[in-house]
Amino acid sequence: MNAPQVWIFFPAILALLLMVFQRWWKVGALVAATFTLGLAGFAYLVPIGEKYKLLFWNIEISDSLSVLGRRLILSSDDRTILILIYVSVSFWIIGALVSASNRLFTPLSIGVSVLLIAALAIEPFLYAAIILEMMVLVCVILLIKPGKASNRGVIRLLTFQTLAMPFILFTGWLLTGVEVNPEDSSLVSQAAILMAIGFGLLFSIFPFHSWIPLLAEEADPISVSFVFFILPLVIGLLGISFIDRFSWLYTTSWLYVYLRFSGVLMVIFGSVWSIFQRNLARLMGFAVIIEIGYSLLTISLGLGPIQNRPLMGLFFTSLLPRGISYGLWALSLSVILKDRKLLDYHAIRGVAYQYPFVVVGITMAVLSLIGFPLTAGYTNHSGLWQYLNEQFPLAAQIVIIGSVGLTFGLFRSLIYMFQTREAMAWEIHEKTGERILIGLACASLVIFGLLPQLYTSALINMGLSFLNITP
Amino acid sequence: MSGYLSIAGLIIIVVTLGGITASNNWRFTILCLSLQYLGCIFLISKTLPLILAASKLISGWIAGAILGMALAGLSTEESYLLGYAARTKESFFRSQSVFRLLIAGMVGLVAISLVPKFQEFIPGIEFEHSLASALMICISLIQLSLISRPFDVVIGLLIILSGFEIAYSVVETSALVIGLLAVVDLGLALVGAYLIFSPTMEHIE
Repeated sequence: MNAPQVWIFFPAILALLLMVFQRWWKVGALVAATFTLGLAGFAYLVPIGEKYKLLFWNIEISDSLSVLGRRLILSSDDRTILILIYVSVSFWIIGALVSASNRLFTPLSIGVSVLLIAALAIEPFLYAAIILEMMVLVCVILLIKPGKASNRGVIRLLTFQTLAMPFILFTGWLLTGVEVNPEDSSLVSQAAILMAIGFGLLFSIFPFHSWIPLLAEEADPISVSFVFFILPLVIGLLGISFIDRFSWLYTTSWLYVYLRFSGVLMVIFGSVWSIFQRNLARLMGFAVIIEIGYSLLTISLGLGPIQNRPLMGLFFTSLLPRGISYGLWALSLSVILKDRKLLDYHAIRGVAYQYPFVVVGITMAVLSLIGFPLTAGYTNHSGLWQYLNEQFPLAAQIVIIGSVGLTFGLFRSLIYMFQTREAMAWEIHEKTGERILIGLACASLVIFGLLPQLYTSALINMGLSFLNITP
Repeated sequence: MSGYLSIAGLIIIVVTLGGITASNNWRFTILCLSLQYLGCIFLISKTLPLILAASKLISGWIAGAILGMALAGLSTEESYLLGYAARTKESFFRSQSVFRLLIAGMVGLVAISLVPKFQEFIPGIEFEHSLASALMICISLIQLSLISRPFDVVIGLLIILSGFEIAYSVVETSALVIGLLAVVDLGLALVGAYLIFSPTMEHIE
């Protein structure tokens, strides 16, 4: 047995089976949630490439598999990523089950995660761009429920991500040329331009960000939040691997300028627009834009000299609070959407008196995303502000001010959620499952905020092993 | 002989690009797309073994067939509702088509001016390859910006990928890359078919 079989092919088979047996989708979702949690547990317990005794069995999982002359490699260094991905998928499957949003969600979300892992595992690395495109195609189907027309956000997502693939493939080809002849300045500048456009399209950097708020407004919140979490995660990991492979690349100054300028631009843009939003789902879209900006800034901090590389841990530690916040926000939105049909501010008036858990959920999610003290997002944000201030003070100040925009957006939405024309009595309309899940997510944001050591060291180690740095 | 094939391929691509840009009839668009893949294979076969180049043709034709089947599966009412109903012959040369052809012509001139840059960027690429590639990419980008129906978007993306593959085949001849790009073409067509068909599907909560 080998690792790609366990973490890529078996879940792929499960996804296909779940597609076939859609009729029993609730049972399928429970099975899938258990299976993905099992895969995460298996990745936690069993080392790859070593003999291990699991209960009564001696097992050894090799790290590679040859497919058509190419290799899929999942080493022990990738175990934490596998755990993170499968726990996330399980979390979202349970969320989709509770909100009963889309019966195709379970098989397609597993399909997306399988392609994500395949993109990270494939050697040569260049093929990852093509697998990423396949992942986007699955995401598009995930975002459009049967019976619903395609929307502008999905069409733009498909267009931008598909256009990115040729740029990345040509960049890969050019970079190998630059490695042979690093003095050729025209070759370097061509590679830089192609890479900037390619990753700009992939990361949805301004002006390619327009699909994010559109998609947030038009598609199912649970599916959208899953895509918002998974897509920047895989693109970030691929981007880090990409830069890490070409030693000359992370010593060039233009890369830092590009990453920091794009990051600051995204934070400013998302922050300013979130003040003026009049729709809860669009507000989430702009929060995602801000988070992409933070990701770019954390990547820029961790590049460069070897002493800076541990700072890449900030990129990895942000994943857990971000994932919980997106999931919590999306679940809360889907509860409101079922009742009010719209998420415009005029449609959510008085929602706080009927859905108090939902309002607390949205508030906690936003507070964590802005890095409010004692929430899970605080540790990561304070780290980012501190290290950014040491290296690039202006960016740090802008980013801190950027958080204020989202806070204003939250307060504006809260005003509407509490506003009523006539007095309303407090009631609880959320179902038990929704209450439990929202409560658990809120509690985890607080617990991880109070005890960040529970997850930070594991995620930092994950980042360092991903970059082949000994902790 | 191969020189004639390249020129024939280029001519087919230019004509079919014009047809796709001007057309409002999905059947005619798919016919043009299928012919365009024939033009592509004439060009790609110069840089890749014929068997590999043929995979592009086959995947392209299957992609066209998938999109065609999806649209043919719509009832007349659904076709009208979703904006895919066939136009009458009289309305073929409407002002919209003329406008699009004019824009395509102007963008085509831009593409021609880009050819020397293309040849500088990809050493060893021939004039026909670079012109076909530049035309396909530039004109499809314009099409993508003008129309937002899923069918047209997917057609535009398929053409852009074909244009890219013509240029990329000069630098990358791996069978697996060509196979995976063929899978992407088919995947795009399947997604396009789903996007076309999705509004008519039964929604079950």
